[in-house]
Amino acid sequence: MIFQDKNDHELVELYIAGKEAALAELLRRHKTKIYTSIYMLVKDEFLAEDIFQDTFIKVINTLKSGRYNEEGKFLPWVLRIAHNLVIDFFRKEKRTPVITNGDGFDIFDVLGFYDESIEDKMVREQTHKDLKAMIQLLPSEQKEVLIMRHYGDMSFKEIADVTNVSINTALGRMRYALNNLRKMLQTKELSLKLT
Amino acid sequence: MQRRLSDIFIKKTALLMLQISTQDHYHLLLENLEESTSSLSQNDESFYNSIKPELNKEIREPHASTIERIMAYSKNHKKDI
Repeated sequence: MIFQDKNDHELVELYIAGKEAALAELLRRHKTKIYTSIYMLVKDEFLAEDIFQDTFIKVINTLKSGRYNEEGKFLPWVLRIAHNLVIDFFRKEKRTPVITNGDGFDIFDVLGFYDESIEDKMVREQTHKDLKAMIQLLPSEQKEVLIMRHYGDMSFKEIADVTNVSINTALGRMRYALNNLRKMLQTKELSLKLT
Repeated sequence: MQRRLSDIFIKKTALLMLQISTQDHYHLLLENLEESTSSLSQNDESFYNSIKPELNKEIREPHASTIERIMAYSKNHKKDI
Protein backbone atom coordinates (compact mmCIF):
# COMPACT_ATOMS: atom_id res chain seq x y z
CA MET A 1 0.00 0.00 0.00
CA ILE A 2 1.34 3.45 -0.92
CA PHE A 3 0.74 5.69 2.08
CA GLN A 4 2.05 8.84 0.47
CA ASP A 5 -1.05 8.98 -1.73
CA LYS A 6 -3.38 8.92 1.25
CA ASN A 7 -4.71 12.09 2.83
CA ASP A 8 -4.35 12.70 6.57
CA HIS A 9 -7.83 11.45 7.41
CA GLU A 10 -7.20 8.19 5.55
CA LEU A 11 -3.84 7.76 7.27
CA VAL A 12 -5.42 8.28 10.68
CA GLU A 13 -8.05 5.65 9.85
CA LEU A 14 -5.38 3.23 8.70
CA TYR A 15 -3.33 3.84 11.82
CA ILE A 16 -6.31 3.25 14.10
CA ALA A 17 -6.90 0.04 12.16
CA GLY A 18 -3.39 -1.07 13.06
CA LYS A 19 -1.14 0.13 10.24
CA GLU A 20 1.95 1.55 11.97
CA ALA A 21 3.34 2.73 8.63
CA ALA A 22 0.46 5.21 8.44
CA LEU A 23 1.82 6.96 11.54
CA ALA A 24 5.27 6.97 9.99
CA GLU A 25 3.84 8.75 6.95
CA LEU A 26 1.98 11.30 9.11
CA LEU A 27 5.23 11.97 10.95
CA ARG A 28 7.19 12.31 7.74
CA ARG A 29 4.60 14.68 6.32
CA HIS A 30 4.18 17.01 9.29
CA LYS A 31 7.23 16.69 11.53
CA THR A 32 8.98 19.77 10.16
CA LYS A 33 6.06 22.12 10.75
CA ILE A 34 5.31 20.73 14.19
CA TYR A 35 8.90 20.61 15.38
CA THR A 36 9.79 24.06 14.04
CA SER A 37 6.69 25.59 15.65
CA ILE A 38 7.67 24.10 18.99
CA TYR A 39 11.30 25.11 18.58
CA MET A 40 10.43 28.71 17.74
CA LEU A 41 8.35 28.95 20.90
CA VAL A 42 10.86 27.39 23.30
CA LYS A 43 14.13 28.27 21.51
CA ASP A 44 15.88 25.17 22.84
CA GLU A 45 16.44 22.18 20.54
CA PHE A 46 16.59 19.57 23.30
CA LEU A 47 13.45 20.88 24.95
CA ALA A 48 11.73 21.02 21.57
CA GLU A 49 12.63 17.35 20.99
CA ASP A 50 11.07 16.41 24.34
CA ILE A 51 7.89 18.35 23.71
CA PHE A 52 7.66 16.99 20.16
CA GLN A 53 7.93 13.45 21.52
CA ASP A 54 5.38 14.11 24.27
CA THR A 55 3.04 15.59 21.67
CA PHE A 56 3.06 12.42 19.63
CA ILE A 57 2.70 10.22 22.67
CA LYS A 58 -0.53 12.07 23.37
CA VAL A 59 -1.52 11.72 19.71
CA ILE A 60 -0.89 7.98 19.83
CA ASN A 61 -2.77 7.54 23.11
CA THR A 62 -5.77 9.48 21.80
CA LEU A 63 -5.92 7.69 18.48
CA LYS A 64 -5.52 4.22 19.94
CA SER A 65 -8.11 4.84 22.62
CA GLY A 66 -10.69 5.88 20.03
CA ARG A 67 -11.05 9.41 21.41
CA TYR A 68 -10.02 11.27 18.22
CA ASN A 69 -12.60 13.69 16.81
CA GLU A 70 -12.91 12.66 13.20
CA GLU A 71 -14.26 16.01 12.10
CA GLY A 72 -11.09 17.88 12.98
CA LYS A 73 -8.03 18.28 10.76
CA PHE A 74 -5.02 16.30 11.89
CA LEU A 75 -2.28 18.96 11.76
CA PRO A 76 -4.13 21.74 13.63
CA TRP A 77 -5.13 19.14 16.22
CA VAL A 78 -1.53 18.06 16.76
CA LEU A 79 -0.35 21.69 16.87
CA ARG A 80 -2.97 22.41 19.51
CA ILE A 81 -1.56 19.56 21.63
CA ALA A 82 1.98 20.88 21.10
CA HIS A 83 0.89 24.43 21.93
CA ASN A 84 -0.73 23.30 25.18
CA LEU A 85 2.37 21.32 26.18
CA VAL A 86 4.53 24.40 25.59
CA ILE A 87 2.21 26.45 27.79
CA ASP A 88 2.32 23.74 30.47
CA PHE A 89 6.11 23.80 30.35
CA PHE A 90 6.34 27.57 30.80
CA ARG A 91 3.82 27.47 33.61
CA LYS A 92 5.97 24.93 35.43
CA GLU A 93 9.14 26.83 34.75
CA LYS A 94 7.49 30.19 35.43
CA ARG A 95 9.69 31.89 32.96
CA THR A 96 9.54 33.53 29.60
CA PRO A 97 11.70 32.42 26.67
CA VAL A 98 15.24 33.76 26.87
CA ILE A 99 16.55 35.62 23.87
CA THR A 100 19.71 33.97 22.59
CA ASN A 101 21.66 34.46 19.45
CA GLY A 102 24.29 31.81 19.94
CA ASP A 103 23.10 28.74 18.08
CA GLY A 104 24.76 29.22 14.75
CA PHE A 105 22.82 32.01 13.02
CA ASP A 106 25.06 33.26 10.24
CA ILE A 107 24.96 36.44 8.14
CA PHE A 108 23.81 35.67 4.60
CA ASP A 109 22.59 37.28 1.47
CA VAL A 110 19.17 35.92 0.57
CA LEU A 111 17.74 38.82 -1.39
CA GLY A 112 20.58 38.96 -3.86
CA PHE A 113 20.83 42.72 -4.44
CA TYR A 114 23.95 42.42 -6.59
CA ASP A 115 24.04 46.07 -7.57
CA GLU A 116 23.91 47.51 -4.04
CA SER A 117 26.88 49.22 -2.40
CA ILE A 118 29.03 47.44 0.18
CA GLU A 119 27.64 49.76 2.83
CA ASP A 120 24.01 49.00 1.88
CA LYS A 121 24.75 45.29 1.87
CA MET A 122 26.26 45.44 5.35
CA VAL A 123 23.28 47.40 6.65
CA ARG A 124 20.81 44.95 5.13
CA GLU A 125 22.70 41.90 6.39
CA GLN A 126 22.89 43.24 9.92
CA THR A 127 19.23 44.20 9.81
CA HIS A 128 18.10 40.75 8.75
CA LYS A 129 20.38 39.02 11.21
CA ASP A 130 18.47 40.74 13.96
CA LEU A 131 15.07 39.53 12.72
CA LYS A 132 15.45 36.30 14.60
CA ALA A 133 16.12 38.17 17.86
CA MET A 134 13.34 40.64 17.10
CA ILE A 135 10.79 37.87 16.81
CA GLN A 136 11.65 36.85 20.37
CA LEU A 137 11.04 40.44 21.48
CA LEU A 138 7.43 40.33 20.30
CA PRO A 139 4.72 39.94 22.94
CA SER A 140 4.03 36.24 23.40
CA GLU A 141 0.56 36.35 21.83
CA GLN A 142 1.89 38.02 18.69
CA LYS A 143 4.89 35.70 18.43
CA GLU A 144 2.58 32.73 18.87
CA VAL A 145 0.33 33.75 15.97
CA LEU A 146 3.29 34.48 13.71
CA ILE A 147 4.82 31.09 14.47
CA MET A 148 1.58 29.17 13.96
CA ARG A 149 0.86 31.05 10.74
CA HIS A 150 4.30 30.76 9.21
CA TYR A 151 5.78 27.53 10.55
CA GLY A 152 2.54 25.69 11.33
CA ASP A 153 0.91 26.87 8.08
CA MET A 154 -2.36 27.33 9.96
CA SER A 155 -5.28 29.47 8.85
CA PHE A 156 -6.37 32.32 11.11
CA LYS A 157 -9.47 30.33 11.98
CA GLU A 158 -7.36 27.37 13.09
CA ILE A 159 -5.08 29.70 15.08
CA ALA A 160 -8.14 31.28 16.69
CA ASP A 161 -9.45 27.85 17.67
CA VAL A 162 -6.14 26.75 19.20
CA THR A 163 -5.61 29.99 21.14
CA ASN A 164 -9.29 30.36 22.10
CA VAL A 165 -9.75 33.82 20.59
CA SER A 166 -11.83 35.20 17.72
CA ILE A 167 -10.57 35.19 14.15
CA ASN A 168 -10.38 38.98 14.34
CA THR A 169 -8.18 38.83 17.40
CA ALA A 170 -5.85 36.28 15.79
CA LEU A 171 -5.64 38.40 12.66
CA GLY A 172 -5.08 41.53 14.71
CA ARG A 173 -2.22 39.91 16.57
CA MET A 174 -0.59 38.94 13.27
CA ARG A 175 -0.93 42.52 12.03
CA TYR A 176 0.59 43.86 15.23
CA ALA A 177 3.41 41.32 15.00
CA LEU A 178 4.27 42.37 11.45
CA ASN A 179 3.96 46.04 12.31
CA ASN A 180 6.24 45.67 15.32
CA LEU A 181 8.80 43.75 13.31
CA ARG A 182 8.70 46.37 10.59
CA LYS A 183 9.22 49.18 13.11
CA MET A 184 12.09 47.36 14.80
CA LEU A 185 13.77 46.69 11.47
CA GLN A 186 13.34 50.28 10.34
CA THR A 187 14.72 51.59 13.62
CA LYS A 188 17.67 49.25 13.45
CA GLU A 189 18.38 50.10 9.81
CA LEU A 190 18.21 53.81 10.55
CA SER A 191 20.56 53.54 13.52
CA LEU A 192 23.06 51.56 11.43
CA LYS A 193 23.03 54.14 8.66
CA LEU A 194 23.55 56.99 11.10
CA THR A 195 26.60 55.41 12.77
CA MET B 1 -53.02 52.85 37.01
CA GLN B 2 -53.80 50.23 34.40
CA ARG B 3 -52.93 52.65 31.63
CA ARG B 4 -49.63 53.43 33.34
CA LEU B 5 -48.75 49.74 33.72
CA SER B 6 -49.75 49.24 30.13
CA ASP B 7 -47.45 52.08 29.05
CA ILE B 8 -44.59 50.62 31.07
CA PHE B 9 -45.22 47.19 29.56
CA ILE B 10 -45.28 48.59 26.05
CA LYS B 11 -42.09 50.56 26.60
CA LYS B 12 -40.28 47.55 28.09
CA THR B 13 -41.43 45.31 25.28
CA ALA B 14 -40.34 47.88 22.71
CA LEU B 15 -36.97 48.16 24.41
CA LEU B 16 -36.57 44.38 24.44
CA MET B 17 -37.47 44.13 20.77
CA LEU B 18 -35.00 46.89 19.94
CA GLN B 19 -32.32 45.12 21.99
CA ILE B 20 -32.93 41.81 20.25
CA SER B 21 -32.99 43.36 16.81
CA THR B 22 -29.85 45.35 17.59
CA GLN B 23 -28.11 42.22 18.86
CA ASP B 24 -29.15 40.29 15.75
CA HIS B 25 -27.98 43.13 13.57
CA TYR B 26 -24.73 43.42 15.51
CA HIS B 27 -24.20 39.68 15.29
CA LEU B 28 -24.76 39.70 11.53
CA LEU B 29 -22.48 42.71 11.16
CA LEU B 30 -19.77 40.99 13.17
CA GLU B 31 -20.02 37.81 11.11
CA ASN B 32 -19.72 39.81 7.88
CA LEU B 33 -16.88 41.83 9.36
CA GLU B 34 -15.01 38.63 10.24
CA GLU B 35 -15.47 37.32 6.72
CA SER B 36 -14.30 40.50 5.03
CA THR B 37 -11.31 41.16 7.30
CA SER B 38 -9.91 37.64 7.56
CA SER B 39 -6.82 38.59 5.59
CA LEU B 40 -3.84 40.88 5.84
CA SER B 41 -3.62 44.25 4.08
CA GLN B 42 -1.53 44.52 0.94
CA ASN B 43 1.21 46.34 2.86
CA ASP B 44 1.30 43.73 5.58
CA GLU B 45 1.27 40.93 3.04
CA SER B 46 4.10 42.56 1.12
CA PHE B 47 6.24 42.99 4.24
CA TYR B 48 5.49 39.43 5.35
CA ASN B 49 6.59 38.12 1.96
CA SER B 50 9.83 40.10 2.25
CA ILE B 51 10.79 38.46 5.54
CA LYS B 52 9.67 34.92 4.64
CA PRO B 53 13.13 33.84 3.44
CA GLU B 54 14.55 34.93 6.79
CA LEU B 55 11.82 33.14 8.72
CA ASN B 56 12.45 30.00 6.67
CA LYS B 57 16.06 29.94 7.84
CA GLU B 58 14.71 28.87 11.24
CA ILE B 59 13.07 25.72 9.95
CA ARG B 60 14.30 22.71 11.90
CA GLU B 61 13.94 18.93 11.81
CA PRO B 62 13.52 16.66 14.82
CA HIS B 63 16.30 14.18 15.40
CA ALA B 64 15.90 10.75 13.80
CA SER B 65 16.18 9.10 17.21
CA THR B 66 13.11 11.02 18.41
CA ILE B 67 11.10 9.67 15.50
CA GLU B 68 12.35 6.17 16.29
CA ARG B 69 11.29 6.49 19.92
CA ILE B 70 7.83 7.65 18.88
CA MET B 71 7.40 4.73 16.50
CA ALA B 72 8.69 2.31 19.15
CA TYR B 73 6.18 3.70 21.65
CA SER B 74 3.41 3.26 19.12
CA LYS B 75 4.34 -0.35 18.36
CA ASN B 76 4.47 -1.19 22.05
CA HIS B 77 1.23 0.58 22.85
CA LYS B 78 -1.70 -1.66 22.18
CA LYS B 79 -5.00 -0.33 20.88
CA ASP B 80 -7.69 -0.06 23.56
CA ILE B 81 -10.61 -2.37 22.86
